[in-house]
Amino acid sequence: MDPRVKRLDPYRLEIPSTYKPGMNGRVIVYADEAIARDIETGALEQAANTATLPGLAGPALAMPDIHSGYGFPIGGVAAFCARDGVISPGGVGYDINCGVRLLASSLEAKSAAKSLEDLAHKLYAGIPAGVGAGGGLRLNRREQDAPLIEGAAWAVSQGLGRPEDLAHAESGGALPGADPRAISNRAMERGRGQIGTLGSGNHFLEVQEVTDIYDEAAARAYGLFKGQLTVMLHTGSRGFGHQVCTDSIEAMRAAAGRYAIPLADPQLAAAPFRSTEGQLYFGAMQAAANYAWANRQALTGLTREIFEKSFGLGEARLDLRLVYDVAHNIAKFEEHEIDGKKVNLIVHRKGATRAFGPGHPDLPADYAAVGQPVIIPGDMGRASYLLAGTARAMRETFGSACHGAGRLMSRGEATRRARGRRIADELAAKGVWVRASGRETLSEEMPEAYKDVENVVGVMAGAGIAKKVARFRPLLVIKG
Amino acid sequence: MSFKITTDTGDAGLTAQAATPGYLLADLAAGFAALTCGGAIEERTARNISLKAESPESLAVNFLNELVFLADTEGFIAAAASVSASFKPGACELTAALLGETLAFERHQRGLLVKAATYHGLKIERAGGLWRAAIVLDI
Repeated sequence: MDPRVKRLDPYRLEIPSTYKPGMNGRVIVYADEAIARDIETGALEQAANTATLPGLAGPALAMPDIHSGYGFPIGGVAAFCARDGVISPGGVGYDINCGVRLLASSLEAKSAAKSLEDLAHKLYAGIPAGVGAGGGLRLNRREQDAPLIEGAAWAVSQGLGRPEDLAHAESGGALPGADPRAISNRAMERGRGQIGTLGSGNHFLEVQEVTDIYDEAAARAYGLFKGQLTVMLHTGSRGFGHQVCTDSIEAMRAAAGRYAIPLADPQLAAAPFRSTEGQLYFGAMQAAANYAWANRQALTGLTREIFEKSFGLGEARLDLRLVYDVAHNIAKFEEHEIDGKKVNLIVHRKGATRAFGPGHPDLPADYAAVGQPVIIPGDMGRASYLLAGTARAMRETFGSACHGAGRLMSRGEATRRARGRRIADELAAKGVWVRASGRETLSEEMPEAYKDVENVVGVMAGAGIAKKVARFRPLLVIKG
Repeated sequence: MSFKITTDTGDAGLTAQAATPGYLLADLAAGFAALTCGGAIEERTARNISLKAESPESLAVNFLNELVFLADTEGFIAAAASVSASFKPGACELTAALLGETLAFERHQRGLLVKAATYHGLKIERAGGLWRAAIVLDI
């Protein structure tokens, strides 16, 4: 670790604002000694680069799942003043509103054990995933605006969910400023048939069992109990969001030149939030975020249908409830307190999850007392977590936490290490049924390719940013 | 044809080297096909691409993003690309004639779903009489 990076306490490091020329503030990195050893130098450089953008409010932040991204690191949070700061597509990422949702059933995993194999086959056949999957909802150009404006509510209106799902999605599953006019024809074309598809790479649908409850009050509020059968779903805005990002990077590179914004990396391309270019991107990004919420909601509808068929139970008996849905690649207009003053900020969370503490007005009434659910997927062999946001997160991280375990190995290294091994059989021996459509997906996504989520979550809990509520173990995993 | 697939990050990338800008871009197109489906594509249908950009880097990113778009919207993958390109500073351009087919997984492997070409670590340079490219793809 660079000697200029100073340890502040067991869970925090500081990259000082003198680390590189042009930094407008420091960077706080959430990492204990073990996590710090695995952080790539390039990721720390990227975190420092984010602090060079104009209008930075408070410190830039790096979560314990930090790794190198494009421009901004993954696991990065940076807030910029809405009045005179910037917005950057690189601070959001290509997969706009990639996120996770957690569904909880009324069933105990042990009572469902006999049906799991049948469920696995039905989920694999029924959830479109992977390259050239097709199978999504095909909308014509006239129909395409509705999901961009209404988000998850659009999918509910199509019979793919329940009205009460919406209260349990971050921002109600739709951002109000979506502007379909800011979307290119190419993005519309890429998005036409992809609502209701999982995608590929690290996206997944996982059936899990609650193995541990750490906070009884929060678990009760979230409707979780030990031994419960749950579903975790990870996907985003698919080709639509990628095209929005691709289009905007080109536009923002030109804008950065016009507004004389120095770029330490071309993928940091940015424009003033209040500029025409900034507002155009913000409108397009919110439309893509809503597309992602519509996608996760549509997949929820499909999943419920498959569960009902597989278990032979009606909707009321199965009661596959939405616990919560979080975005982890997004820029949001939020009010936070800095030095005792309330300020409007554009909070960029790229590979980072909103983690609002108890009492925040954006939380649904049933979760107000315990804080926002923060869903942290691990890897397909070990565990995932549900955390709750804290008051300290509101003071220190703009109400943000980590988003997952974070990659430890490159795809190439993972594939090399998996050579000669049967990853699916190894997982089956641990009681995890896994199926992927891509030829290399299981090797690239094998558990050891990721940091141990226990350590990542331990840093967040130790630092007081989020508290542990429940732990889940995977039972069956569908990947693209 | 001279390209390499790189997987030293959480994503994937391509490197290529060739005598001319056109051959370089054609090699990147071949690499894209190899990543997406193993490259066993037949020359059944044609697509044409014309692009202009300020720099060789933008031209390469935009060209690969065109291939991403064709793959994502039509499932079209090029088996062969005949590319005529100029890397003149401030006025780079290309015209590409692509021959390929629509992915059919009873005949093609399911490879990586490439979603965008990025500027991350992007290099286009001329050294030792050859054009060299390194590009990272978001997957």
